[in-house]
Amino acid sequence: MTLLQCRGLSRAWGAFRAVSDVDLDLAEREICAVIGPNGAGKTTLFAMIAGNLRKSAGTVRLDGEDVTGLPAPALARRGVARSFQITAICPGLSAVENVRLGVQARDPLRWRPFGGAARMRTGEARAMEWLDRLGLAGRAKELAGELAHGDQRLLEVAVALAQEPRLLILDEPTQGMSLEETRRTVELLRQVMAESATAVLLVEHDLEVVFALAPRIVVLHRGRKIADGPAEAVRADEAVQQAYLGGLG
Amino acid sequence: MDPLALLTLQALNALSLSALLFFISLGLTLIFGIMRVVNFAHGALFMLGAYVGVTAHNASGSFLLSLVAAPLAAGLLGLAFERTALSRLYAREHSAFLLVTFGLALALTEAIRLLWGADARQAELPDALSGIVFVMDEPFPVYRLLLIGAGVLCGLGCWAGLQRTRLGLLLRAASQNPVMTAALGNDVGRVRAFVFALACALAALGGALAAPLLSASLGLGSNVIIDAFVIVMIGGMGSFLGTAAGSLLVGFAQTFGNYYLPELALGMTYVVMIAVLVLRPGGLFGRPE
Amino acid sequence: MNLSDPRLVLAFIAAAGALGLVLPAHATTLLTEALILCLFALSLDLLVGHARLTSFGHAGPWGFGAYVAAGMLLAWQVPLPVAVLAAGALTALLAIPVGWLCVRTGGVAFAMLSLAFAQLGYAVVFKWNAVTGGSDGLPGVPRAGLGEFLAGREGYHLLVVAFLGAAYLLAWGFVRSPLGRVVAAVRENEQRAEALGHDPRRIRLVVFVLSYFLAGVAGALYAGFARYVSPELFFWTVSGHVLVMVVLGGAGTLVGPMLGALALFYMEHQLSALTESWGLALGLLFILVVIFAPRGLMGWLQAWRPRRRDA
Repeated sequence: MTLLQCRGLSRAWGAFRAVSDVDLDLAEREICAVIGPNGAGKTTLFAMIAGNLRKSAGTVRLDGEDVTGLPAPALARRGVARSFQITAICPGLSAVENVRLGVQARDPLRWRPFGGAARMRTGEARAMEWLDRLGLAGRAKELAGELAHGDQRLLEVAVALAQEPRLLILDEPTQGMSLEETRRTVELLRQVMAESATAVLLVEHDLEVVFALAPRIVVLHRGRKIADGPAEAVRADEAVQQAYLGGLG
Repeated sequence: MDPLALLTLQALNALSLSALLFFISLGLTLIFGIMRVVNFAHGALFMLGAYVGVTAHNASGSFLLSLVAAPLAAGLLGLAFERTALSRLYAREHSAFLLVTFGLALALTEAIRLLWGADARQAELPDALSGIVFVMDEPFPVYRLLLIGAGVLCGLGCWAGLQRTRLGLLLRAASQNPVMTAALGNDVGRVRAFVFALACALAALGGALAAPLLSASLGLGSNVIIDAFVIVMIGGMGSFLGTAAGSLLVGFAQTFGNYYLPELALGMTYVVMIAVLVLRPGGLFGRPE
Repeated sequence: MNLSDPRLVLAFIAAAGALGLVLPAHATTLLTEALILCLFALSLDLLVGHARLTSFGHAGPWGFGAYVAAGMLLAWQVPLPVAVLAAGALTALLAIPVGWLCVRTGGVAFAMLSLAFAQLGYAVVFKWNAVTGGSDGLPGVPRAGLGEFLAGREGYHLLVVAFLGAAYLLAWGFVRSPLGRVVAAVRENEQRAEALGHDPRRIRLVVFVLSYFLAGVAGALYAGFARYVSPELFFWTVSGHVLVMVVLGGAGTLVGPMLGALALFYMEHQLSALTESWGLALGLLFILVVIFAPRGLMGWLQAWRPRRRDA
């Protein structure tokens, strides 16, 4: 089953075409990494898919439904969760409160202004489970803004996972992490992805992380898709070697 | 009265009011442009200018001296306030400035009440300025013409200062990008202090000029600050041209509105302000924040 | 002991009610007025503290509520509690279009827009002589339909206490409800709130309407208390004053702004008897609080106790 279907996605700022004419399909439960050199248009592509940025052209379908013009909140309600390149968490709330917001996001209770205390408690228990899975249980009561950078990145992933999305978009989850933190994060993400039913789109600079996590790789170069296929095949692709892997030496 | 003469006189009245409003709004917009600070105390400083002006005039007998004493006093006060209070807040969010300058407005109003008492003070104009000229055969006070001249002079002076001097260049740079300006070796802290003091001095000069016309009273500050807000919001916070245009707009709207549409004039200015803020949050001549 | 414990707060409010029965007449009257201001400050805290929307126009809903209630009491002798609730409801209704326009902006523009709306209310009330009495206001507002006891000094005091208690429970319940937490998320990180499926503008509008409802109730209670409404209720200095109360007490704590209202009111009345320069002292004190104690009275009070990790 195709979960996500993008056709001809383009975004231009004046004469500069950040993303041009990209097609991308993603099946349910599929994990796919998008790679490419700086400025290849990865973050722009994700922002269009998640509804954070208007498209210059192209369509996006989610589960067959045309969601092209929908803003981010509407897409989130349809099961798209994401983390951002620059960590977006609520710094003044505790870690567990952050995740609970993710838990309650899919819950019809979110529009009940009063009461719902019992449901809130179960929500808190679920939030703790997610923190536990990402190794943050010990930090639950700390303010999110006071966590270490790596823990903040993980917390953001926990919030997104707690939404129990059908499509999870991760924009450089290990960005700015130390080698040790990166290893731990990759291990955690691998476990969590194996256990959950969500499809994942991943942008990552660290190719080790990419190959560890994603069986399928899409390569962007100057806003165009130049390769798309199983990780091993893409790795061997000559055009990719030249455009990207070769460029890195 | 000849309708054309009436119209002319009203226009002159409107211009003189615009000139007074320009003095206070210009400072407000300068402060906002450079520091992104809304100064709620600006009305109180205008009022302080009126009181100091009246006192200096009565004590020395020189009207000209009062026009020096008022801005000097307010400028020094502004400098002290910026250095001791505002400068601690630049890292905080904007609401801290709203609040702290509101505190200054409260304190200043009360200080004025303590120093001058609750009664209004009227300044007597020197004979040379209290005369009347005939415009289209109708009498018109010389002093109001003088105000128009002062407003134009101040506008041209500030504009030239901003466009033609090194300091003006620095000010414009600091308002565009304070980080870069600081990186180029300029002391942005001193620029801010200078601008705040200058703006306070301008407001007080406006107050001193207004004193013979409006008389110095305790409600002066809280009334005039709202007009100034309307002006800078319509014109665009931080925009010199917008402030000039806004002053003219409000000056004319109030003068003509009070004459022809006394029921609606007051409300209309706020409706215009709301419309501008909703449709163009940065004001007619400004950039959106 | 946690100062924000709702049981404690309600106990304090009840104690204030009992105090009104034993204090001398003049003191009871002052306390009633102070408690109405507590309710007013509480309503603003929802906007300033919880949604971090610095409103400089809260005199708007306060004045509107007061005039609506005064009109109903004068024209139809509606029972006062009904008039108060109806005034709150109408203020909330008004808050929908006003808030819709205001929450499109934030920061300084929000402060200025809310201010402009309040001033517009001032202009309308000031000029619309036929309905609002113009600059003279509307005197002789009756405390209709209350019976002899409740219309009296002590009775009205208890009525205000009951409304304050209910309003506090409403605000407290809202803040900790799922929706209240979403408000916090929008305040803390708009991008995150969107990614969670919430439209920040709509969430802010909800807070705006609730805040206006409570401010309208407070204004209506004030109309019945003072038995008189005037355009001054809408003037921007009123907005500034209630903002001082919120910040002085500690924005975002619900209890703090109520303490701030009591403290400010008490100082205004006690200090003014002691010294001429109280207003100057107050202004300077306020400046110092903003600079050195951004968390207000509540910040100080909480710093006295050993800090709990889960506080």
